[in-house]
Amino acid sequence: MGGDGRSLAVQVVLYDDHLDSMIRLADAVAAAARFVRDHSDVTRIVWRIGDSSRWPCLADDAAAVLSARTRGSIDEVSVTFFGANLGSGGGSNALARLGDEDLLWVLNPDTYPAPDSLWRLLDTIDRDEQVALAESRQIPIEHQKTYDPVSGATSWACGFSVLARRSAFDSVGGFDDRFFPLYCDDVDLSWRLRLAGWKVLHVPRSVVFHDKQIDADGGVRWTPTAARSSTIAALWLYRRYGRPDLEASALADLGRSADPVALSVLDEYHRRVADDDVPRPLEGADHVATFVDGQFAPRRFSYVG
Amino acid sequence: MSDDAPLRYDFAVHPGSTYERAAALIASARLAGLVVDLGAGVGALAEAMAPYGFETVGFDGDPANVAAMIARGRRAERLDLTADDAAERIATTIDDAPVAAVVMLDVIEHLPDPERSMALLGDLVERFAAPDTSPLLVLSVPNIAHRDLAAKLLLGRWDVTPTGLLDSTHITLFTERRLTDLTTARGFTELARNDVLLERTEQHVADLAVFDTTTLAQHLRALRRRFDRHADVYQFVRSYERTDAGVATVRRPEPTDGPFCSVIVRTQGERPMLVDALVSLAAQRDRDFEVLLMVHADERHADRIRELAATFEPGFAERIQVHQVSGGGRSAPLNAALDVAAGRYVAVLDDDDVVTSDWIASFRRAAERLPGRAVRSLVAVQWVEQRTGLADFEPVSGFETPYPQRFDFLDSVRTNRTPSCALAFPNETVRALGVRFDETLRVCEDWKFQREVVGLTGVSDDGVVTSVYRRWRTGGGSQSEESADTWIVDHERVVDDLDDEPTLVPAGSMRRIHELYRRIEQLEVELGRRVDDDPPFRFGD
Repeated sequence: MGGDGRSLAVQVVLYDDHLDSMIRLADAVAAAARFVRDHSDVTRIVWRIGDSSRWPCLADDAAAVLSARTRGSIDEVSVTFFGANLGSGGGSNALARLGDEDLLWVLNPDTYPAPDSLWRLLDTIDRDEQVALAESRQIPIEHQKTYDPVSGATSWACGFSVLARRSAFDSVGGFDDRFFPLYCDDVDLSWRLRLAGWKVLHVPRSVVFHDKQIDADGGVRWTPTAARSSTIAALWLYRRYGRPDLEASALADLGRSADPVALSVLDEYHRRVADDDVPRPLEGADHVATFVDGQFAPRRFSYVG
Repeated sequence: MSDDAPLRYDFAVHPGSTYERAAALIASARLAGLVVDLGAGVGALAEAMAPYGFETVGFDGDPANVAAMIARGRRAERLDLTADDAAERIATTIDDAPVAAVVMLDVIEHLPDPERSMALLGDLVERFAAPDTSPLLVLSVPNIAHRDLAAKLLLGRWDVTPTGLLDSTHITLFTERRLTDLTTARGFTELARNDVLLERTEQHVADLAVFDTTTLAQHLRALRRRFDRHADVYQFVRSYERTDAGVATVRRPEPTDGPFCSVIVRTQGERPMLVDALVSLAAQRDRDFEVLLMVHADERHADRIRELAATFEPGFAERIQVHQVSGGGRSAPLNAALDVAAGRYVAVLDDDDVVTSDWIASFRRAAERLPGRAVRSLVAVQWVEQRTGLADFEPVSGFETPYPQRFDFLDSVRTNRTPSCALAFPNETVRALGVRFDETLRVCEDWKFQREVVGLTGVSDDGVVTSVYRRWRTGGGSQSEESADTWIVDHERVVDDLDDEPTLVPAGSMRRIHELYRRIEQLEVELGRRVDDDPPFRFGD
C-alpha cells in the first residue's frame, strides 16, 4: 500500500470507550477505506486513535488487534494515550499534529459509517476546492439543521463524521480546545472556516450510523454531562460571535433555574471567565453565525427533548 | 388360526379404500411388471390391481392368508418378513420377472423395527431395478396424529381397538413426518400421494360430543389444521421412487440450527433508503442474526444489490443472503424468505426503516424473559418526503410514538397498533402453524400475519424504542402508494378472514369486553338513545 496518491487520516478520540465498540468501528472503517482506495487517488490511509480517558481505556495490544482487523485497507493504526483529557477538539488537534495527511476524517467512536460514506465526502470535497468540511448524514436520528438542497451548503458541520481538507483545517488552527470537553467545537470550526472564505457542506448520501437512543415518548435527550457541556459551549459561541445579548439572556435563565446542571454550568462559566480560559471574541464574525431558538442553524424539524 | 375363523384383515376392496388408492398410484406410474405385495393379507391389493391388468404376487406370514389368496387364484407365498433371508426368498420367487412395484400396505406398523423393514424394501427395489427403470415403492400406514386421537388425548383417553388407528397389534406408530423421515433416510423421494381422508374415524364416539360441533371443536380443528396439514388423514398412501441410495433430500434448515434472528428486508430494487436500513443492521451490538434481502425485482436489480452487500465488511456481508423474487404481490418476497429463514426468530424490516443499535438485543431480552412468545419493541414514527437533488428523501418531522407501549390483544383487534419493524416471531411456531403472509392482500398483510401468530403465542414486550418507522408524506411507501379504498377493503378482509376461526382471547378479556358494553350503554344514555332501565346493549340494535 502507499504510493503517489493523496493520504488520509481517520481520527477518533476516545473517552472511556470499549474495545468491543472499536472493533465494530474498525470493521466499518476498513470497508469505507477500501471503498475509497478502489474509487479515488487516495493511496495511504492511517487510523489515529487518541485516548482522553483518565486511564488507558483500551488494552496495550489494541492497536495490534485493530490493525489486524483492518489489514489491507488501513496502512497503519496507532493508539495514543494523551495522559489528560484534551477534550474532543483538543484531542483531534493532537491527532492531526501526528501526521501531515492531506485529509482528516474526524469520526466519533460510537459510529458505523456506510461503506461508501467516506468516498462520498471525499467526492464532495474534490468537486470544489473551496470546500473545507464535508459532513455525513446521521442515522437513525437525523440532524435537524437546514442545508441548501442543491449545493449542500450548511451553517456548520457536525463533528460526528466530517472530512476536513488539511490545508483549510490548519489555516484556521484546527479546533479551539477551549470548547472543552466537547460540543460546539465543530460549530466554531465551521464558522471560522466560513469566515475565512471556505465552504462547509452537508452530504446526505454519506450515511453514518451514530449510536444514539430514542426515548419511549420519542424524545432525543441529553445526558446530564452532555447537557452541561453543550450549555457552556453555547455561552462561548455567543461570546465569540458577537451576541452578548444572548449570552446575558442565557445566563439569566440559568440563574433562575433550580436545575443542578444549570448551577454547575454557572459555576464553571464564572470560574473560566475569571481564569480567562474562554474563547476570544472574533471581530466581524457575527455574519457567519446563526442563532435560532437556541440552535446554530435554522431547523427543518424538531425533536422532543 | 383355524380355517373357519374370520380373517382379521379381510377388508373388502371398495372405492376409496387403501387398496384401491394404492392400486391407482401404481397404475398411474405406467410401469410394467409384477406387483410384489408384502404382508398381503388375503390379497385385497391383488383384487384392486386386477382391473388394471397387473399380476400381483402376495407374501404373507399367515398360512391361512396365503391359502385364501391361492384359493382366489392369486400367486402367493408364505414368508416371515422379519427373516434374515426374506429379500433372497422374494427374489427367488420373482426370478427375473420385471417388477412394477414393491408394496407394503398397513404392515410396517405391525413389525418391530421400521428401519429394518425399510432396509428390506430398499434392497428389493434395488434388486428389481432394470437399467433404465426402477420399481415404485408404495406404502401405507395409519396416521397416529389424526384429529380424533388428538381430541381423545385431550380427555386423557387412549382407546385401543381390534382394528383401526389404535389396533392392538400395532407396534410402531407413524406421523407424516416420521414416515417421510424414514423413507427419505433410505434414499426414497415421494412421487405421489393418495391418502385416505376421514373426518370421523372409529375413534370418534358419542361421548366425544364436546369435540363435535362445539366452539371448542372449531377451535381445536383450526389449531390442528394449522399445526398439521394431515390432521384429517386416516391412512397415508404414498408412492416413492428411489433416488441415490442414502442421499437424503435437502431439508429446510431447522430454526434451532440457525442464528437468533432472521431479518427479512424486502426491497423493490436499489432504493436509496436501503443503505440506511443495512447500515443500521450492520451496527447492531448483538450480531447473532442473518439478513434475508429479498429483491422483488429482476435479476439485474438483484445483482446490483449483491454488489452493494459486498461493499460491507466481510463479517456483515457474509450474513446477508440476497434472493431475487419474481412476480406475486407485496407478500411474495416475505413468504419466499420464510422458506429459507434459519433463525430462531423472524423479523421484518422494510427497506425504508432504520433501527437503533439494540434492535436485535431488545428482541433477545424479550425472548429470554418469556420464551416462545412473539417479541415486541417500540417504534418511533418519523414523517419523510421524497426529494430530488442532493438528497433522495428527508425527514420533515421529529419522532412521534403513537403506538401503545405494551401490546394489547383487544386494542389491536380494531386496527394494527404495531408496525412490522417492532415485532419478531418465533420461527418454529410460524412454521408449525404454517402461517404465511396473505399474498392476496395489497396492504395489511403484516397485520393479518401478526394476528395469526400472536393470537396463539402472546407477546413479550421490551418497552424500548428500537426502530424508526418512516412514513411517507410524498412518494416512497405503501402508505402513499395504495388508495384509501384499498386500505379499507383489505382491512375488512383481514377481519373477515380472522373471523373464519374462533379467536382465543387472553385472560382478563372478559372484564374488558364487559366494560366496553357498559361504556356503549352509558354513551347511548348520554346521547338520549336509551334510558337506564332499557335492556342491555346488543349488536344489531
